[in-house]
Amino acid sequence: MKKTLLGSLLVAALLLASCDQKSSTASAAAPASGTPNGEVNVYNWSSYLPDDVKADFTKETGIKLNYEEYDSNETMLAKVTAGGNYDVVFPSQDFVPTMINKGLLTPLDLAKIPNLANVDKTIIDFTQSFDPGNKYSVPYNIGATAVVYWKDKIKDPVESFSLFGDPKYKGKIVLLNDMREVYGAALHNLGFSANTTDAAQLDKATNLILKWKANILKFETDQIPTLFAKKEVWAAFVYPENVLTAIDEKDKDNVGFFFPKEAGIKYQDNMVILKGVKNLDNAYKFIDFILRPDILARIDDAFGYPGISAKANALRKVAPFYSTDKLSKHEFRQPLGDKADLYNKPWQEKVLIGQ
Amino acid sequence: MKKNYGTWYTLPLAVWISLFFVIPIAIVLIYSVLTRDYTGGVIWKFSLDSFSALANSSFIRATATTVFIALVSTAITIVLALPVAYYMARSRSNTILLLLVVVPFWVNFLIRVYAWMAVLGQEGFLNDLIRWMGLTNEPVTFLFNIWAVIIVHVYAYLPYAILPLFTTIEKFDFGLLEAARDLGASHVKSLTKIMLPNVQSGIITAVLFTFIPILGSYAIPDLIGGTDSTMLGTIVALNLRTGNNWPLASAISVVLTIITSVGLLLYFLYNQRLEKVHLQFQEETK
Repeated sequence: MKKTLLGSLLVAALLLASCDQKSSTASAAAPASGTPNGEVNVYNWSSYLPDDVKADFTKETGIKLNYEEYDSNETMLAKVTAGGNYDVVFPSQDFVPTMINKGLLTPLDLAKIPNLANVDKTIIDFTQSFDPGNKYSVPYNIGATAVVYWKDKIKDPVESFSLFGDPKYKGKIVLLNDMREVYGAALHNLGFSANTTDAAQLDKATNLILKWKANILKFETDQIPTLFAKKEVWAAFVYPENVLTAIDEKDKDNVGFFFPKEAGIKYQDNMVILKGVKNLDNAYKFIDFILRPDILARIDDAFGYPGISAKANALRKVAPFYSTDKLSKHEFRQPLGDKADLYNKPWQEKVLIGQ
Repeated sequence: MKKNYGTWYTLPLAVWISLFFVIPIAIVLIYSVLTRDYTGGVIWKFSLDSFSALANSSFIRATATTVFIALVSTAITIVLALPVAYYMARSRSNTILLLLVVVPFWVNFLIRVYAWMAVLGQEGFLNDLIRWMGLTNEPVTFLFNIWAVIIVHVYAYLPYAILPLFTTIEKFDFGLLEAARDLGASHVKSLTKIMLPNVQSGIITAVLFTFIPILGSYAIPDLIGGTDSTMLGTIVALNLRTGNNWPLASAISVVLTIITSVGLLLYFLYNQRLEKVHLQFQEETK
């Protein structure tokens, strides 16, 4: 009897090796040869820098690029705090102050990043709210969630978040599985700030989200482009370029998108240099290389981003889906600090686990 | 006298188990009673906040949903696995059959889950089938609900149930079945009264091998589930990431560990009792 259990355990142990693994993506880029000028360790979001740009960086500068990817700010922060060996990382705007406060960042010498001058003034103005004077960070990319929809299924939609609760589209809407984005939408729909810490306002927002929840297909992270392309959903609350770049050419005219009139949340990702890095000069060279107009144009073309530089946009081969002045009404998410549970608790206990 | 090297032989395993099993569980236990750091991680100050946060109707509901999914999936898995294992044990080509059971493991787990999405999706095989049969013209949504989650769990853990059942049934003396038939038992009765009690240990092992991993499942409910099937694994992941509440995530893991440990404990107690009965029986028949 015991033998059976042990034997089976052994078999299972062998089999388990092939089991249950999500996320965790790492990739090494850049060839080993032709790198006389040392290296630079970059830790960036997944699918956020085209491979040919990585290769060209090494070719032009002779610096070896060690490249690793993450899928959330939290993962990045956890690894950086645990002493990961990185020079340049790409935190979103609400993580820049957190990283400054934790003493994780090197104050930047902007004279070493001359290409920062190519970035639009509107974008630089945006950054002042979380890093005045760009003391620690320079912008990389900006964007916001929008509603993408099939025109033949949803005719002349009201350009508002209230679409999510419309019973005509029951089970045909998917919302990004992101607490702050969904709360931002609900709070703006009710006319409140997306960074509110007022319990009564958040209560109302939670109730609105519960109404939406009863009407939507699901909260989803990775599969929205697939679900949308297959028409399993008619509308998606998502970063629009993720879906728009995945649509077949023949369907392009049938797909529309809008920023709800109430606005919502925008994000900005930034490049920072960590404290005490070994490759400081190469880190500056990498950042400056990325901000060169022709390089920015290639990055934005590859992913369909609105772009942070008019100079770069002039060089693009593909027209951006929207321009950044559409985002002036949007709010940046601010770090909530010890008020985080005002959002976390209702999101987990009422929305996810639910009635 | 020969020297006893037993301690030395077990040393590598002891080191391995303590490094990768005992210490991690200890860390989870310790983290569950520390104070959370709002930017991730923990502050080294004792606190029972996360356990008091768990004593709340939502988490109890999530635990109930999780246990329900695990129980139903396990029950279906065992019912499907028993006849397969029985057939394999009786078949002459059981090596090939065994291989066939293991073949799915050659394909990555996630890819197989995505394959199920292709089967159950609105443009999927199942929808094509019912449309072809003329049952409906509108695509039906099979995915993103609790039953889809259960179906995919059954699929994913079926081999883990078949293998222990097969090894037990293979050792079963099939002559006993013939004896039962000779003594007038029906075919069904001989299976339920003679075989099932004799392969009980295999069934329990199969239950443990399916129930315990499903209890901690994360990827399947995340991909296949909808708004009605949030399992504890999802809540753990959420609190480790955007929720930034590591103590709460640890406390939920502790609860899951306790549920599984109680199950294992019951199994071992039952096992001991069974062995005692067995010994007694042997004494009496001597």
